[in-house]
Amino acid sequence: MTIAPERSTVKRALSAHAAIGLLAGALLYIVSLTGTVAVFYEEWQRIEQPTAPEMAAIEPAAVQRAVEAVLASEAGKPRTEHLYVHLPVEALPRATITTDHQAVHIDRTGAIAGAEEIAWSDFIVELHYILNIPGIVGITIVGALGVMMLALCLSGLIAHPRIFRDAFRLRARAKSGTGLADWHNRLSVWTLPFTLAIALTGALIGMASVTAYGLARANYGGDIEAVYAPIYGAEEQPDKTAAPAPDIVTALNYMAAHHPGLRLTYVTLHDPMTATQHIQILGTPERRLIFGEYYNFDGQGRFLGTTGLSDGQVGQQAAASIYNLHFGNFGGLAVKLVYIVLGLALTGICATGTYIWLGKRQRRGIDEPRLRAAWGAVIWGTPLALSATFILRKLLGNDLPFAAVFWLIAVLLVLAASLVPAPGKLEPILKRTFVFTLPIGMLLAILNLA
Amino acid sequence: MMSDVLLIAAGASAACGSATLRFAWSLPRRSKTWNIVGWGLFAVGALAGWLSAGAWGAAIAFLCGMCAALLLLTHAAITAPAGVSAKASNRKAGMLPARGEALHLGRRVATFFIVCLAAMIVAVGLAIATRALMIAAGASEADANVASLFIMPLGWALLACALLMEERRAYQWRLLLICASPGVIALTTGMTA
Repeated sequence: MTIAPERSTVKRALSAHAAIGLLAGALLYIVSLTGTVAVFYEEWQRIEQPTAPEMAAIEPAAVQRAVEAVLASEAGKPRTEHLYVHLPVEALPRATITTDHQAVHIDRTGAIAGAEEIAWSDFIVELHYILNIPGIVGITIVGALGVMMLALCLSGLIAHPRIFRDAFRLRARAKSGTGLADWHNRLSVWTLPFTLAIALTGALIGMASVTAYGLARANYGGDIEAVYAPIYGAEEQPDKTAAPAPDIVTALNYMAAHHPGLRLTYVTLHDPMTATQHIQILGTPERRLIFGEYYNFDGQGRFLGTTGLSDGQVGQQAAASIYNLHFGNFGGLAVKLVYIVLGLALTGICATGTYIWLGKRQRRGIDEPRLRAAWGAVIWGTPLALSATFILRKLLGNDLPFAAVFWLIAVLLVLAASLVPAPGKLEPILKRTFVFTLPIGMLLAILNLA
Repeated sequence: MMSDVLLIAAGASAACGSATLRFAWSLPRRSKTWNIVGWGLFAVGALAGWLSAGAWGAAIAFLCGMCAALLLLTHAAITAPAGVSAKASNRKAGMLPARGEALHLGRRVATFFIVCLAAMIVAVGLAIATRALMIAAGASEADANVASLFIMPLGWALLACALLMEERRAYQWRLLLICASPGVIALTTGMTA
């Protein structure tokens, strides 16, 4: 008995694999590359704004002072619906307050230390998350790319019946396309659990809006928030009657007394300075995939209960686990480094797929130099454009429209590759230019850190 | 303490799984025994990881296994002889027409919409049906909603793959109709009320 698929099945799977890969290849490459870069989101923030005050921990009274100062600074503006205090943690030892209107760093005394300036780091995350397309369109496209990545995994396995048998057969420097195909297939096999996890969690996050819309229409009279309420907890109906600032000190003291050693990452205020204001403290337990558990308090800091992300329904725990599994921030620097390596491998798989297809066509006598050059421009132009935006961030500051600059460079390079008289010459130039920008970026980062 | 030992054993077991499979696949003849040992070590690693720290432990065990495999691949890359000329695959993927063949643009656009739009809508229907079925079976609302959120992208991916592997248009529609039926039943029989 054999489980090997029939030849016709293999052939059709290869067609499916090529169709998806070629249609989604460029965007999958960009999303994979930016996802790899974004693994170091916290570290990039520190590089981007090295002068922000840092601390190992912050006293509850300082958090209270800072929150009151930030809310006072927004007098006269529409009242913020949420206020987030990022508490200092190992990867990002900074305290930052974000409202609907501003984001500021605070020092260890609770004084406002200045505006948060991490536009480049946020641009990288948004490029990965939504391809810089606002609204649900961008995130849905990225979700669909996750779905296509899942389909690529499945079709790739069916299209290559010997892929496990040959899992260590790497003719790395073989000519005429064999080496490239070996790299593509070997990396695909050995990063398969990672790729499946990344693709499924990414697809779930990205397609959640569409799925929730369907569920809401079918089950909740169109109320999308009601779909999420059993999972992450419901938002209360706000009563906008004015109230004094919430008592964060009491809530944080409760956490210190009842959950000593629990890593606290965020304090969230819902509808601050109103009658229905309440406090949520996010505590992240050790050795869990969940991003944390919400500890809920009323405006006076009285403990109300937890949401159940750590010990509630299995579905709640699973939903709370997808983010850390996707972004690789569940095991400190070591796991992040492994995610970087695996992410680069996945990016390489995306890049080599189209090169393999182009090579096969070339060997069958169909030479497409402009198509090859355009693909080369995607592969080397994308990191070059990212690198250029970082250099510009360091030279020109936080206010540059990074998304516009990136897409302008990336699209122009692809167009140039398709139109220049000698398309084959552009790819090596892009490769060399990208390599050249790396030490410049590093130098600028180091100079700013000093 | 015990969980630490289990976690280390989990990582080591998964890494040894990679090494064992490397050995198994280097043998001149296929060895079922060594293959079973290799994959078994992976399974033991995942289980020990889970017993140590649940899903987190299993994830760490898988990362150890993958890292070990990538190290072995790095060794294979470094020791691979340069300039070997092996016959590369020329398998035709049929994504674009060969020279002289018609483009069939209309057919390709129709395939795109079937795979990207119709299959997505059908997958949302599968998610709705999953929720209805789970609620009917007594599952909590949280479990049912989260299962639906998982089913949608999984169902779409499987459907996309199956549709693209189906050459005849009529068979593609038939597959879509079959997969759409649970969602239609859930919506029309009041199971979602």
